[in-house]
Amino acid sequence: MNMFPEVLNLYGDRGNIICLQKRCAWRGIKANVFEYTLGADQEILKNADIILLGGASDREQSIVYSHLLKLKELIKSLIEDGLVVLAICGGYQLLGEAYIDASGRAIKGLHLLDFVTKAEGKRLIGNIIIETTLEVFPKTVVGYENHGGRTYHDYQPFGKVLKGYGNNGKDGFEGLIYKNVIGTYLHGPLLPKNPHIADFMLKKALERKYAFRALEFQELDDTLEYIAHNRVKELYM
Amino acid sequence: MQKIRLYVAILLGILVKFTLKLFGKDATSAPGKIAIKICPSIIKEIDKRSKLKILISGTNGKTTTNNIINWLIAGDKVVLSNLKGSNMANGIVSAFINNLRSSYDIVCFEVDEGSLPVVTRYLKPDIFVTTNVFRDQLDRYGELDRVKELILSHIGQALAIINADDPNLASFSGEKKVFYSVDENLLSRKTNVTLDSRFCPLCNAKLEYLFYNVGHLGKYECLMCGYKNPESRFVITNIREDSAGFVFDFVDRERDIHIENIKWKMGGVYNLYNVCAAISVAMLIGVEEKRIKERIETFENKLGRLEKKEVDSKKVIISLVKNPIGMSETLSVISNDPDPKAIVFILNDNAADGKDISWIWDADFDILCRIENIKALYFGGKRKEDMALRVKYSEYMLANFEFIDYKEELDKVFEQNDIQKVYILPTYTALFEVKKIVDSLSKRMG
Repeated sequence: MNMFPEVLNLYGDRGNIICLQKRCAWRGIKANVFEYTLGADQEILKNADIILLGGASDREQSIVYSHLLKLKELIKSLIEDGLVVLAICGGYQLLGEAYIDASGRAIKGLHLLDFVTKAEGKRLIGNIIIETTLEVFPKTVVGYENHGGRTYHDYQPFGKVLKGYGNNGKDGFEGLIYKNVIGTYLHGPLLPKNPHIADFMLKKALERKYAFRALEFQELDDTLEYIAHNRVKELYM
Repeated sequence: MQKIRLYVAILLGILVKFTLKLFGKDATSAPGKIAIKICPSIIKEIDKRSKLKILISGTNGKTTTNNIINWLIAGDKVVLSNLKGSNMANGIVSAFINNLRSSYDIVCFEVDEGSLPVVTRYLKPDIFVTTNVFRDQLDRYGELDRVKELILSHIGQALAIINADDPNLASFSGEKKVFYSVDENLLSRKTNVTLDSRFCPLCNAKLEYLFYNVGHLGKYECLMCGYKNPESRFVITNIREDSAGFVFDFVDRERDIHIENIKWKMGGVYNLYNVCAAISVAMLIGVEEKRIKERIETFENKLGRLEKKEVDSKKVIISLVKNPIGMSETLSVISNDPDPKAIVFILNDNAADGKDISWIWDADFDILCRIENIKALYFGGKRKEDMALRVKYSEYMLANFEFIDYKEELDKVFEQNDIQKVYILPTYTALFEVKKIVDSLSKRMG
């Protein structure tokens, strides 16, 4: 379920959908991509196996914000039930209690999780490499970050920052893991170059839906994916 | 004192220019860089020496539009311009130093969005042309809305020439403005997957489209507040395809002038917007219609935007690609070409290219499936692996491809016998290198 793709699609977020869809197709798993648009019936969210929450510009984010608030309780119960969610940048920030902007004004988040994000100083921009806390191999996750907000929380981080800024540029951690929710600042096309994370999400979604065992999960030829993954490490580590 | 500073700046700039020329290097940026260091207000001097000042800004099409305008006004006028696309303050001052005169009839500069504050601080335009606002290098410029504000807020007292088909720019509230637009044509689409802008700039409701020409450029209407394309004074209409490009009519509605059957040799609907903007400027400053038609029909693009060369009896087409819309449109243009071909993608992530390469995921690579006779794909540049991966995740079956070091091995591409054409699609920092390499190969192989 692609949430508000017409709004939350800042730079390359589409890459994540394409990646999940292709990796299912290559394995013969039928995957339907639904676009949850403004004014859609919230009941269809209950059928979702994976939810993608992307980032957006401030103006566009505020447009969908009021719509998302209506779904708060539903999303919360689905997350507690183990729904797989990838929340990136603005989507990640929205999961928290509030976003405190540069002038100190607090913009309320969905408060599905207990954390806040503050706008501080200059934007944190550049290639980023982290070592993830997830049970996957390889341990590294590569991407690009571009965010003004600093996030502070006590949840399990998505990873330890090896290169770049992460949540706040201070504590050395990036992102957040809660149940099957991944919140991260690695924006845009995170999954194609990190097929192990894509497959982690697919496995979790299949487990939840079909009590599926990981053994049945077909390996793909990811040579090109890891060439690209390793190239980022070589260039920017 | 200020005068002395200015002359020292100009002199040193000239010195840098000659030194660079001596070593066969390009002087489109360095002379200006040193001159600005010494005298930051040197741009004011350009302003003082010019009778009519035209600036062009926007995401795509600045260089092409600037080149067409120059071609339309060249001849009896003394014109100063930055035709090679060096569009930051350094490039503008370099153009001045490289073509020093006590006065100019017209200065016509393309200006990078990010350089508008410093340029317009000293150079007050009489005419300000806006091309479009697309996502481009978010790492440098931030969001689309900010870019739009940046452009519109620097129009100042100029007469604004605004693209009516761009819903963001068309909301410009200034009083001195004229609009231009491109009518629906064979290549217009009813749906569009890669849209940068979907919401009404006035009330934030979703915009409804009758058709799309390029990305979010098209005929739009907000059903909530009624915002829609403003009435255009200048329009390209009656558009037909021609083997070499398009044939169209240009209309000045206010004066009821029709220039009919203009043959335009460039492909790509986006180039129709560029030529429309350029003719609008020419009409406003009084270039005769007959001359406009002649000139447009003989215009040849010399600047890496679908530029044609020949190596080893194979046609080489080099086209700069740097954002999703540009990439999608370029692939669309290639899909009209049935000849056997190789395509070379070169992706760099240097500062001038944009360090963030996420944009490739927003481009429509499924178009590759519609391109006939692709014999091979090549990937080069610092981020070639990412580019290959992007194609792997398109609908196109990525099978026959090779990674190349474009600085060393570009000649390999031409060794393939069963091709007639080589399309090279580099990002900015690779463009000039690739052109140089192709030039020397073209001389060597004849």
